[in-house]
Amino acid sequence: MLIGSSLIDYVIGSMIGRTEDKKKRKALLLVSLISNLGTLFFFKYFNFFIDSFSSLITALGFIPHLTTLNIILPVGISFYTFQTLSYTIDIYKGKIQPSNDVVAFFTFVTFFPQLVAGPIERASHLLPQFYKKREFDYEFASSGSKMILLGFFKKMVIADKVAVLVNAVYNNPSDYVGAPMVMATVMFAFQIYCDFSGYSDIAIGTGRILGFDLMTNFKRPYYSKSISEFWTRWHISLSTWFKDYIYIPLGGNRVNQKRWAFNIFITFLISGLWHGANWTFIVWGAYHGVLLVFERYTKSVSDGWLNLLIPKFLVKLVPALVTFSLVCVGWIFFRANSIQDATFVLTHMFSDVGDYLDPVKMAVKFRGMGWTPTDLIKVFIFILMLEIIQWIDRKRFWGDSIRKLPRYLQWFFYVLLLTIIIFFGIENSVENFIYFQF
Amino acid sequence: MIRFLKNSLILSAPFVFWVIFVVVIDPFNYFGFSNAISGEVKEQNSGRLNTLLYRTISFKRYPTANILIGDSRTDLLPVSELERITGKHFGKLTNNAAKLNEIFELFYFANSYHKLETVVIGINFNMFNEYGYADRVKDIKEIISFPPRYVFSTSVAEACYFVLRAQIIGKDISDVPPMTREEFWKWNIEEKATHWYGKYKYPNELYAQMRKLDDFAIRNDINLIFIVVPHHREFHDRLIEFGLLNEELKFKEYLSSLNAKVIDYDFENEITIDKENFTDPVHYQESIGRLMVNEIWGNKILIGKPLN
Repeated sequence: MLIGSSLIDYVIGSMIGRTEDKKKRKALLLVSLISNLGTLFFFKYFNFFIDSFSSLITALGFIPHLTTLNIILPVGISFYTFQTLSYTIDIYKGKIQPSNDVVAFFTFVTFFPQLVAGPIERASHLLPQFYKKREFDYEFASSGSKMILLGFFKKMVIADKVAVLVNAVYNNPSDYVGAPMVMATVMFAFQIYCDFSGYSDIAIGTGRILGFDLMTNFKRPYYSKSISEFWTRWHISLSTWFKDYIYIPLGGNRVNQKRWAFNIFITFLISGLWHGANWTFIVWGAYHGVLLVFERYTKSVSDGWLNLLIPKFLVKLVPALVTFSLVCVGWIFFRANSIQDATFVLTHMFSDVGDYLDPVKMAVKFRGMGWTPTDLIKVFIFILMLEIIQWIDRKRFWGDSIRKLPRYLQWFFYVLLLTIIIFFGIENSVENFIYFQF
Repeated sequence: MIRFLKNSLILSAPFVFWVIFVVVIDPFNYFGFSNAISGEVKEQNSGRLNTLLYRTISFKRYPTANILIGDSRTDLLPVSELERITGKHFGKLTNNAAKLNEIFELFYFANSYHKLETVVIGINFNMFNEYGYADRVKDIKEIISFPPRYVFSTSVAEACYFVLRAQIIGKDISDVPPMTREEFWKWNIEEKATHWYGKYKYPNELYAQMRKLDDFAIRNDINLIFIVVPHHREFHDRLIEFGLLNEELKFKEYLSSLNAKVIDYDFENEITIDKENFTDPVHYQESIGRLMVNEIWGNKILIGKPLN
């Protein structure tokens, strides 16, 4: 699959680069689009569309005679398809020249650190790095090692720990009505962030040790003060891909308000579908599309009220908390196993607010999920540690800030981080990276 | 490159020292190379800190054909009395707050090390609940099969501290609750009972596992005995408030349908009505443990009720 997809795009890229004939260029691009998206559709969405279509015609009173296929989703298909697709589109747009180095091109597509879950690289950024002779750069490798360390901390210590609680609640929502649902939803926000950004940190760090600079994928997204800001900080390689190859070709924001709203909505709907063949992802994408449109239409009013009602020192905190809460609502759809489950969680998560101060009732509610109060304290401390590191990271790379400390403190910090990863990471059950499924 | 490798080595040095330290202290007798800490200190401290890990490692090193599996209530059954009456050597795979799924897993774990002959399982209604779930045995199995998991376990790190403290200043871990008997009694009746019975769901999966275990015992000629250990009536009667009396009856009916021998002590009888027979509402006195052992293995059941 990988070889086939790469070969098609390499050949088509070269052919587009060799011709000036607009029609021919367009036809070649179309071949690339159909082959890449067709493959993606077949492996990822065929059964979903067949199932959805069958349900629809059953609801209309007909008996469908459609069969689904027993196919396995190739690992990383959504990521490398988009990566190779951007290569041919960029050549078509004249942004880059086709590669003459077949080995470099195949290495670009199959570069192992980011092959299965990104960051989704652009040829203009990564491909030229394969042409250059690389020499070991201590500073680059050192920063890469630090990123890997933080990535493992996020994944092994936080994400895999909270996964126990999240899985217990979201796999049996009716058993954990009320406070556990709220807790699991907030914890899922940290799980998915730590899981995915942890993977990105490890990928980028590995790239750096090997002498490659991969693009940033996350910039402290939960510090965002609006949904639009969130999308400039979350899964940046994918959101910029959608911006460049879907939103802008649709007209972007250089159109009237209605058309802009449509462009945003469609872009996020497709983004949701990209994540997986399930209505939960589509609703999640649509939800963010609606939020962005709503945010734009109400921005001036909400900003005015914010300045009027909130003390100055809370002006940044309140929008960040509101944004985080809205993002969490979206995560309910993203994590739930079905739309029915998501609706159940949404309608039952605040049903026991009156019991919040009764520790015995609360302990009973959390019973059976394999989590103890000690686990909760541990996770709270680890998330706090992560937030401190991210706070330091907001102006410059956190590793550079640590470097300003006395040498013994620097060693103490890294030994402590590694100790936490080894001792607390090793005791968690191993969970697959969430984005591997996409 | 040299600087990078040098720094990587410096970073890994504390962990190499830690490995050596754990191998020397070896609080759970995992490696068995070192006698730096006495066996008694390890048992008093590591054995209390993580009973399950201590007992499973011990079982792996010295497996027995006859075992007791259960939680702290089963742990109170006097092995010496049992050995005296039966003339057989018994091992223990009991641990605090053991869950039924863990007990079943321990059964198979034990059988994988030694062909079992007699297995005594302590069981109560509070365990027969889908929400009564934990998965510590999986961790223990990983630790046993993979030494780095032992060396870098938080339990082992904690145990190293306690055994060293005990060895140096002679202070062992205490398992006495930080309250008076009356306070602890009240806490059990109010909070523990709410925790146990406040959220109940019939455990389909556990019941299926129980049946499977029962069949396995028959097929493999294992003498399987379930004992429903006594609770004080005051604790038992909280089941009425939670509307679970019928569920408890059903639980005992399920037990009576097993091929294994099942003896029930958790009903109104001369043991369960007397507070003096208990250290707390769910833990009987040593004398009651002896009485049950004598009744069951001495073939003169007077108080207990055979369910099948």
